[in-house]
Amino acid sequence: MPSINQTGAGIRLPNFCNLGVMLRVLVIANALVLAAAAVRATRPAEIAGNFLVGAAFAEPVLIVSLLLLCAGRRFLHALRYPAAIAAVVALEVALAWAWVAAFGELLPGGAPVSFARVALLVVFVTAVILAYFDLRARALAPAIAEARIQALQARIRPHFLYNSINAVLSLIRSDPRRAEQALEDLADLFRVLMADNRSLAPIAKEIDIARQYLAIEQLRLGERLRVSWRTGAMPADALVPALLLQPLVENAVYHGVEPLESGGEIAIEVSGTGEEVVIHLTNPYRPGGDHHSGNRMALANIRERLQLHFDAEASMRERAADGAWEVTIRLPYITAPR
Amino acid sequence: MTLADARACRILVADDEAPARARLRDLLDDCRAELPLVIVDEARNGREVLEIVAREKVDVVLLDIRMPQMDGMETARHLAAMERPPGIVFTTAFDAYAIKAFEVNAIDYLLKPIRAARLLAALRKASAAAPSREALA
Repeated sequence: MPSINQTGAGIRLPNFCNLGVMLRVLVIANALVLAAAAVRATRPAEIAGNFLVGAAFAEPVLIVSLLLLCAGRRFLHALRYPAAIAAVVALEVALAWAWVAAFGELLPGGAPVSFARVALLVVFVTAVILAYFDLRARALAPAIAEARIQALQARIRPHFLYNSINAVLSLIRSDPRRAEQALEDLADLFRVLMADNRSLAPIAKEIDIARQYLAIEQLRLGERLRVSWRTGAMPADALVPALLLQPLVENAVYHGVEPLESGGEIAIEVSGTGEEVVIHLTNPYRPGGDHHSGNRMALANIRERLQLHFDAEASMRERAADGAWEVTIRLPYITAPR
Repeated sequence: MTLADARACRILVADDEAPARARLRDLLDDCRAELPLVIVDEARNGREVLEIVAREKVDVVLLDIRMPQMDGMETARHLAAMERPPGIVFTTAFDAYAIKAFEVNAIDYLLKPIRAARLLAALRKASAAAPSREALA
C-alpha cells in the first residue's frame, strides 16, 4: 500500500490507520465542537455543558468513522479522489444520522433534530477535516522533494570518497585484483548514491548498499572493523526511506570504530513483527569523544525523513549504554503494490 | 652510514590506516630518485609518533590528522614544544583543518589522495627548513 504515503504523485486521502492522522481528525473535530459550544453559550459557564452535549453526539460517530475508514482504506484508495471524498462524506452523514435516530432521544435537551441539520453539521465538519488533509498533502509535496535533497545531504561524507580512492591507490601496485574489485564496489555504491533517493526502497536493497559500503571501509580499516548482521527474521520486501541504513552505518564507522585503536564491532539487526519493521544498530561508544555533533546531524536527517514518509507511525531512539551506542528505528511494514 | 644516508631526509610516516601508510611508502619510493630519503619508521597514532621522535632522529613527520589515541593536531602541538622539532607535513582527506594546521606551524598540508609531485615539493620545503640540514650544509 504505498499509496498511503503522500509520495507527491497527486493528492489523495490520508491513511486513516495512521495514528497521527487519527489524532489530527480527533483534535480538529473536537475543536469544532468546542467552537460550536462557545458560539451557542450565552454565558461562559455554559460552554462546558454545551461541549459535553456536543461531544456525546460527536465522539461515538468519530470513533466508529475512524474504524470504518481504516478498515475500508483499500476500497477508498482504489477510488478516484473526488469519488473517495464523496464516499467519505456519505458515510459520515449516514453514521451520524443512524446515531441520532437510534440514541438521539437520550441526549439532554432532547428536542428531535432534523436530518437536514445533522447532515449540514456533518458535511461541514467532514469538509473542514478533508480540506485540512488536502492542504497538508499539498504542503508536504514540496517537502517530499525536500526529502530528496536531504537524502542527497545524508548520502555520504566527502572524506569517504577521498580515503577510499587513497586505499585503492595503495592496492594498485601490490594487489591489482583487489584494487579492481574495490573500484567496482565503489562504482556500484556511487551509482546508488547518485540515483533518485526521494522515495521508498526495499530494505533488502538498503542492506546491499550498506554491505558494499562496509566492504570498502573494510579495505581501509582491516581487522579494526568488525560487522555482525542479523537479518534472518527480516521482511525483505518491506519499504523504508531510501538511504536509511547507509548513513547510519557510516556514522557508526566514523564515530564508533575509527576513533578506537583496536577498532570495534558494528552489530546490525533487522527484524519484522508482522505490522512493524525494527532496525537495531549498535556500535562502540567512546564517552567524551567527537561523537555528538556530527552524529546528531545525520540522525536528525534520518528522523526528518522518517517523519515525512511515515508521520507518527515511525520512531527512532538513540541511547548510550555500557560503552555502546544504540539506535533503534521502528517503522510500519508496508510493501510495494503487487 | 654512507654519505647519501647522512644527507637523506629522515621521514616518519604516521597514519592509523595500513593502506594509507602503504600508499605513502610507494609515493616516497617514487620521490627517492629526486630527493635522498629514509623512512625511519611508521606510527599508527600520535603517541607512537612521540615515542619514535624521542628515540630516533626524524626530519619530517608525515602526519595524518584523524587518528585514534592521539590525533594529528595534538601530536603536532607536542612536537612543536620540542627543542628541535621535526618538520610537520599533514596528510589528510579533510580540508577543514587547513587553518588550524598552520597555527601549529605545519610546513605543508597535503590532501589525500596525494600526488607524488606534491609530496616531493612538501619534502623539499621541509628539508630546506630543517635546522639539522642547515647544520650539515
